[in-house]
Amino acid sequence: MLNLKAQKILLIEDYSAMRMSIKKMLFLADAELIIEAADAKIALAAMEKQKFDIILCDYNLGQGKSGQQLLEEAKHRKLLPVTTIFIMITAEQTQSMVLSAMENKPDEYLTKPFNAQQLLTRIEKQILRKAYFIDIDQAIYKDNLPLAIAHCEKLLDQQETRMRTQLLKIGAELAINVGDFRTATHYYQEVLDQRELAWARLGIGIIAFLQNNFSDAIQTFKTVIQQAPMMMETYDWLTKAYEATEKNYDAQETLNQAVELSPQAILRQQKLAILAEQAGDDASAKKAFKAAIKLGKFSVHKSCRDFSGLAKVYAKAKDTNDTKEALKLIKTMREEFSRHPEAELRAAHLEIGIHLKQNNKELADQAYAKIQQIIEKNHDMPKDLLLDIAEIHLLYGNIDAGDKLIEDLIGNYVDDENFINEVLRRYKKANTNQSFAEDVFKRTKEELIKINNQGVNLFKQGNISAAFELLEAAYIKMPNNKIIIMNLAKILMRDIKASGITNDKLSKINTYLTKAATLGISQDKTGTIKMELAKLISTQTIL
Amino acid sequence: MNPSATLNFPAILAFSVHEMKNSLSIINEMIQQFTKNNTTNDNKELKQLEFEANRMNNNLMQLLILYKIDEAQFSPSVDEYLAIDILNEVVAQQASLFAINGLTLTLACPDDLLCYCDSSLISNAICTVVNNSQHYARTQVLLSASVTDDGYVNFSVEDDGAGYPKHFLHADAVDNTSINLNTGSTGLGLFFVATIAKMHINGGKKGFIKLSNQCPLGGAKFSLFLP
Repeated sequence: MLNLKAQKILLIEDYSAMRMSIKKMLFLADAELIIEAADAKIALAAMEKQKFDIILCDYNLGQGKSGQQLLEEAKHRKLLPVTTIFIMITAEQTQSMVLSAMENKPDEYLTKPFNAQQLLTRIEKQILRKAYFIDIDQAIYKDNLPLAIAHCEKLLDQQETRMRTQLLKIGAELAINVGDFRTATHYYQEVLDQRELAWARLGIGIIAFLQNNFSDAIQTFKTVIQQAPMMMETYDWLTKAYEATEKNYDAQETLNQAVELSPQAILRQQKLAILAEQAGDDASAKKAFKAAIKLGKFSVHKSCRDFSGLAKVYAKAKDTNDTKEALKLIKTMREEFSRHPEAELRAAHLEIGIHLKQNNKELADQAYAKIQQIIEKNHDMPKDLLLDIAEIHLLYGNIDAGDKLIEDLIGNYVDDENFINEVLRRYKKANTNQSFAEDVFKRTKEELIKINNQGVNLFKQGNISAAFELLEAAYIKMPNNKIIIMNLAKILMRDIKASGITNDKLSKINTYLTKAATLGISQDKTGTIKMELAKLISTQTIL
Repeated sequence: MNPSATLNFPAILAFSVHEMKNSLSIINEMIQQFTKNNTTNDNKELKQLEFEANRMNNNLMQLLILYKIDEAQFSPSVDEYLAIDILNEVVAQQASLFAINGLTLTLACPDDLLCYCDSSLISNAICTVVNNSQHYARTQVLLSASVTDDGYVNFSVEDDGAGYPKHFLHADAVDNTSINLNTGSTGLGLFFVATIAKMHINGGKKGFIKLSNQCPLGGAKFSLFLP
């Protein structure tokens, strides 16, 4: 019989009668350590202070964050240890609510009304489940994928039929994350031989995508959507595949379908807004930005980009009422994001456009002065914003500053074809007929090829340290260039393998791997290095 | 303007169901409390109350799902589950009601039998059948799962009541189109379960239900087959 005497439980429910009712159910299993929270704020504060074994959270929490937003934030801020069981409670069975409740993958979800036995059965099931997977989960949490894989293989070897499919799923995901597509395919195929399950088919599509086999991936994702239209991840993958093949209209349509089904997911609304913005589809952009702003109110993913994006759409329109609306949004943005350099830059950039349109040169000049002042102290800004600012520099005849920004952007994002095209197009428009951007682009590409060739040659000649120095110099010049980062990590790994690991090298390679992750390089590309590194660390002593 | 054009019926339906479900949660909890404080008296009214609350809940859920199926907005989310987990869920939901009614609910299921289905749909569907069967059972209900020779997983609910009325046993009585909704809750419940069963497809095989009075316990036997 389940006993909850030693379990720390957090009960999050805004309705006090319901809270009381659930507490009584938990008392039946001798629960003693129950902390109650009437809203998400109180709950998050409690989670900051201590770890809970079980969290029961109502989806609907009245004003403020919803249960889904709470789970999203807890995961984002790493407030949820792997040992914690998170159970989402929902009252409604409407599709959008259920899908929304599932977006951040709670361990379990329970529909009202339920009785004590139902609640306790679910808790017991999850306790057993957590216990079975704990070694794998702990290793994943510590980002030690090789160890997680070893634990997974050990469990698979035990030939427990009841757990096999779940283990294959976890094993395949782990294999993908270290770039071992053969094992991943093998695991998914074993599941599919048994039964055509949508998540396994999705996995096959993801592998095709990661191997740049986009047409197969698209075909597979489409099949999966037909088979399981409620599995929201598939839409995100299909969107990525369309973007990779420069079918931006199809990407936008796919996300449109997804937000129709599950309108509460903020990241998807934000992505849709930007796709629509790029396509010049103002009506869709407006709708998606508005939705993102609304969802962002209590979300950890709240972003000033949504406010500036919407304001930009309004500012574009000819109607004076729309201009007023844009100015109102800029004001709101400043209130919501005070002392936030990115928001201030976005606000000032928008103001320049509006003031110039109204022939108010003095106010526009003031806004430009503000931009110059802020950008001097804050270089690390999103690329779309930097491009906007470069454009403004050029507009004000501040060619040197504009060119400098453009040069940095091209250096950092030279391999992002979509973005580079945008940079070239807008540079030409802003600085009539000047070929500076195109020259830089050409030069950067040549330089990169040269550095890489030299690096490879030095490397082949066994001069690893010279190869490393060459790339490190390039890294300082183009800190956001994905190819340089990856090559640096690879060379350093070879070096470590050849001449042993030191604390200095270890910290350097970890810096590169972290940077690769923030640049959006997918895990499978860095996975091999991580695997090798983990194996070395476990067998070698650090010098 | 047509006033109905401004009504978003699915939203209203969802909102109403949400409110009703919250109320039902509280009602169920109060029934449990009354039952506990009231062990000496005959709990006939409470029995009836809990039965009706359960039925309301099942009906609400069925209403929503059938509405979505009708609008072609619904497809089951199939994954692999243990049959025993699905049946445990049913037992958990129904056990207290059986206790109050003085009926025995027995479970017979191998603990490693896997099945491929939408588990919340299937456990809800079986709950509907079990909830009805205790209305007709005299002393006991048997809940079981097994695998058939041609590879279907067979969930059965058997009781020791008077059995199904003759018109239920007619060969095509369980075809969705011919279930007579006038037979009351049993009719709607079976209509729902048959609809759900049919939505489970594997290759060329489709799920189905079967009703019979050939039951070792002497009463009605409901069977759900999933491919």
